[in-house]
Amino acid sequence: MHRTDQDLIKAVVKEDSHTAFAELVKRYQSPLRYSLRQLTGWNEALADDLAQETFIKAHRALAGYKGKAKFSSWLYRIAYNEMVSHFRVARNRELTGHINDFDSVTDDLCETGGDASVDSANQNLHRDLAKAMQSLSDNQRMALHLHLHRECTQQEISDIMSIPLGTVKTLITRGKSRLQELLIEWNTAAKT
Amino acid sequence: MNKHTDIDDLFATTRHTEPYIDNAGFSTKVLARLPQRAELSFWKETLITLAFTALGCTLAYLFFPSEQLTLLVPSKVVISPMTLLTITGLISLACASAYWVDKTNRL
Repeated sequence: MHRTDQDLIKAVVKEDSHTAFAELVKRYQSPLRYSLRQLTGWNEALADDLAQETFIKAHRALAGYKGKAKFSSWLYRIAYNEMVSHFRVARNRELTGHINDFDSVTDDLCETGGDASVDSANQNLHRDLAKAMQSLSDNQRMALHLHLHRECTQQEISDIMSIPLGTVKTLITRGKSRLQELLIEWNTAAKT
Repeated sequence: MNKHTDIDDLFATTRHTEPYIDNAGFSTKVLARLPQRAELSFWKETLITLAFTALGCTLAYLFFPSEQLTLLVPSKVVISPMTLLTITGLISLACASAYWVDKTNRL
């Protein structure tokens, strides 16, 4: 029997059910880890660490989740705060070595639906996009990813990132034009 | 990526080809880091133990053939001085051995 997110959350909060929480983790781990890979320049280890931290904090704060926003949005909010706080600390320590490791990118990618014949062009696309996104600020990256990839509304993004709606619009517009510039540069370079 | 000329188009492609990232022990790692469930309080634990002990005793009283068992208990025991001496000797030996094991940390 399929249990809804709300059922699982209730079981975690009221019965401290680890099984129910494991089900929630299994349900959301792939999209969350993918998003964090996109937001960390496809640094798999860092993205997985942040995803783990996100789930641990979510478990701790689950009693306070009132169900006003989608569970995924609530989870992204925690993940966003984790990511921002990680990069802030890293910048302070001048240890921003999170853009470098692209070699292991394709190792554990699986196609949607479990097809073994993985399209390497698509793999490169995901990696390249993550790399291109590194030229944006943390906020622009997050706003653009949530808007264009996760198809969140601007209001949802505003709630997730705890910033005004106007700022979300600006972040998306500027992020898009910056990425568009990069795309044109790459296309020009590819033609020459 | 060069075949894409529009950002919306590019994101649409990544959206539709988003890979499923295999769990591969990820959820196990998360669960291992969760705080352990709160243990039962002393009184709850005591109450549960007592309740089940009482239940066990009641069931034993109801179903165990206690009358037949009492018939097996001897009503009179005759023991000779030599047997008594042997038994006390063996008990003393066991106590001395236990004391020696304890003092020499043999276990």
